[in-house]
Amino acid sequence: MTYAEIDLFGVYVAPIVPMIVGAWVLLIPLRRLADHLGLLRFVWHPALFLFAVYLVVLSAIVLLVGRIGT
Amino acid sequence: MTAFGLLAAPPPRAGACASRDSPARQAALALGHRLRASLSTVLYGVRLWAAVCLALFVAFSLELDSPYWAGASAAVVCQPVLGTSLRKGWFRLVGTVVGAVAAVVLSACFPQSRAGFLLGLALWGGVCALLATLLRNFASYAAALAGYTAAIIIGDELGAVGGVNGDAFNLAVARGSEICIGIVCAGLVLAMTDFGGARQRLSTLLAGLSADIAGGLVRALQRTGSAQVESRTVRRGMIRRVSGLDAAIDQAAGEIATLPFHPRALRDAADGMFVALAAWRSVANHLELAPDAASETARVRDSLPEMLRTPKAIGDPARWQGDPRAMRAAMWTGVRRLVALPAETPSLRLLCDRTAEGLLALSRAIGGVLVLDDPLAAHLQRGLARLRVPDVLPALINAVRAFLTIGAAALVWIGTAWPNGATFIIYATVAITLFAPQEDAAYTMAKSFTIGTALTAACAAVVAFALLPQQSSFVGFCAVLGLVLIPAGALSARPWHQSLFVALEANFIPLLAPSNPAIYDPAKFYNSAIALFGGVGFSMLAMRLLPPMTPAMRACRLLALTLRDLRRLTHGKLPRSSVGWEGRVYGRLAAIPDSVDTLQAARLTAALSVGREVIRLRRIARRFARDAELQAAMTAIAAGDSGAAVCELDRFDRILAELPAAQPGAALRMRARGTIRSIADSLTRHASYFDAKEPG
Repeated sequence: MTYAEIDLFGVYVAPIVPMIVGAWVLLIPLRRLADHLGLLRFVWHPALFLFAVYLVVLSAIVLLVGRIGT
Repeated sequence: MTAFGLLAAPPPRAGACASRDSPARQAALALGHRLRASLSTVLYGVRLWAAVCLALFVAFSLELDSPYWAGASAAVVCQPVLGTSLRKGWFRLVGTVVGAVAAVVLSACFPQSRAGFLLGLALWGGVCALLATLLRNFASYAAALAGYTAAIIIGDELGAVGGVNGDAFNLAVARGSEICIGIVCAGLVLAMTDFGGARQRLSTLLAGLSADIAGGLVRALQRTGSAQVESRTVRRGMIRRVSGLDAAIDQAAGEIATLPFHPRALRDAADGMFVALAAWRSVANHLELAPDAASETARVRDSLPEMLRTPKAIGDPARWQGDPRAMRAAMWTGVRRLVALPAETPSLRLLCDRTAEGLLALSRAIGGVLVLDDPLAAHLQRGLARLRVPDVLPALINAVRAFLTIGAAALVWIGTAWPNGATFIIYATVAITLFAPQEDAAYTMAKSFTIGTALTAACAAVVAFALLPQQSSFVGFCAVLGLVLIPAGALSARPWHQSLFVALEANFIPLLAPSNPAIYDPAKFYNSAIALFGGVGFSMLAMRLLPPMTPAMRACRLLALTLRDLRRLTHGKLPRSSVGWEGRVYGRLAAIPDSVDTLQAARLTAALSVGREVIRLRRIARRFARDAELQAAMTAIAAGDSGAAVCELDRFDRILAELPAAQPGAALRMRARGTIRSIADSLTRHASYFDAKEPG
């Protein structure tokens, strides 16, 4: 798996940064959906659960981008 | 009149003019008031900017390593209220020195161990977060600062590769000097441009509160039965107002004056108000629960001097502030008359004693106004002030969270080998120790601060790469800084999204990192910005994952701890005085969260009264060798059985009543019977609280 740095107005940004932002953007509708369906009521620690989901999404993006890059 | 004098003038009393002014004039007055308020915030922004520029100028002139720490320090110390700034500056100096010493000690303890070194930093952060929660106001800030000053020095010491470079002492001296330059410059600019008005405000606040409590106490003597219910909400609201005095006292203590006063003298005034509120509560409850006692209130009122007799006369704040000595003398006269008044019934004794107690406590409160006028007149207590710890659990939670956050930040750095990981650790430590004492508001503030940090990064990027390269002089550099710092300062002085703009004013200089000669390196800037934002965001996440106790839970614990302590008072060694008990409950009253029901504060006040009265009653019982007869009542209180306690207290009352009048100590016995009535009233009123089976 390889990751390329992103050229942002002449500054090379680490590839993890847009992935972190992307995972956060993806989490927003997922959280809304969980709220709408009342899933968070069944979770002991909602913040910890959402953080775990965020890590899952971020890891998926990292793996996906890495596979596409190769 | 100078501009500052104009700002110091009190705002027009809209209500006073409303009846005779035309709508146009009212609108003009309101507009004028808003403009004055806006001008004051803009002036604060200008002061902030001047302080930062002066600090940077001095740091550049001395050719210090990282002059931006001086500018950043000046920005952090600046506060819209002069007393706050100066007091904060002093505590920041103390915190900086302690943090620098801690950094050097940590370096000396772990010269070859990176893991031990970082673990030591996490432990130090935890200890500082614990102290920051236990202490109040600026002392709390100093504790937080000691935590993150150590992180700042250690961050520099670690460098990019993570090894301890052995230059701890020089770094501690350099960072300490830069931070101190910032504090001194900010203090200088603020003290020269702002004359402050915190003392006057505090004096008005003390006089107003004392007048309201005194008015309420005397009004309670005029009402009967259910009419007392109306005053309950007012009284409970006042507990919150008295709790808020602590911050105002610290602000006033910070102002430079010809005669500085000791804050302890004023804290005693605030404590006096709690006692006066408890006395008012006792009088009102008794008259509500025993309507027959209303016939005796006239004798109590008639014993008071003329100027204390009616709620209108005693409740006029102008009198309290205009001639506090006369008010105090009148209260002492009233106390002497009430104590000497022969009472035939326990009910009358209770009314006399509690009114006297309230007046005596209010004379302590008015002593605060006198101390502000003449600090030398204050009678200072010897010895160190005792730290009041309302509940240690929230502080422990904050300490564990700070330890885990700093430890996790260090692990992230080690795991990713991030060159800017040290900055990440520094800002994670800053945010986690600084916001921890805010309890339930901590996450919201941290979130706002994180958004503010992102905004700061954008502003700093524009300034660093678009505006500063065009400037060649220090004046031009300062003018560019003013474009961000003046609006940021002005907006941070307003309540709307305050944390967001505080982040802008505090993080702008560290992100810009001005140096001489100027360096414009986008990659370096980008890495610093990411690390800073990441550190603050990491702390925000930690606060979300390890949240503080909810206000309801904290209030519940404070009540449970107080009940447990009260039950302990009923048995075992009799304290020599009620001072220790009172201090503990004052601390808890001040710690009751604002967002919970006012009933919780009322229950604490009831517990305060009952504790004082239990101590008094046990002392009197011992004096007459009647401990054994009182024991049953005390056991019932300890067991949480108010009904049985009231019955046993009645039985003890009859025992005291049956003692021959010729036996010495008749007046004291009557006083004890009044105390019994008061305890019984409190137990009846708050039976659900006093009967709770499992405190905690």
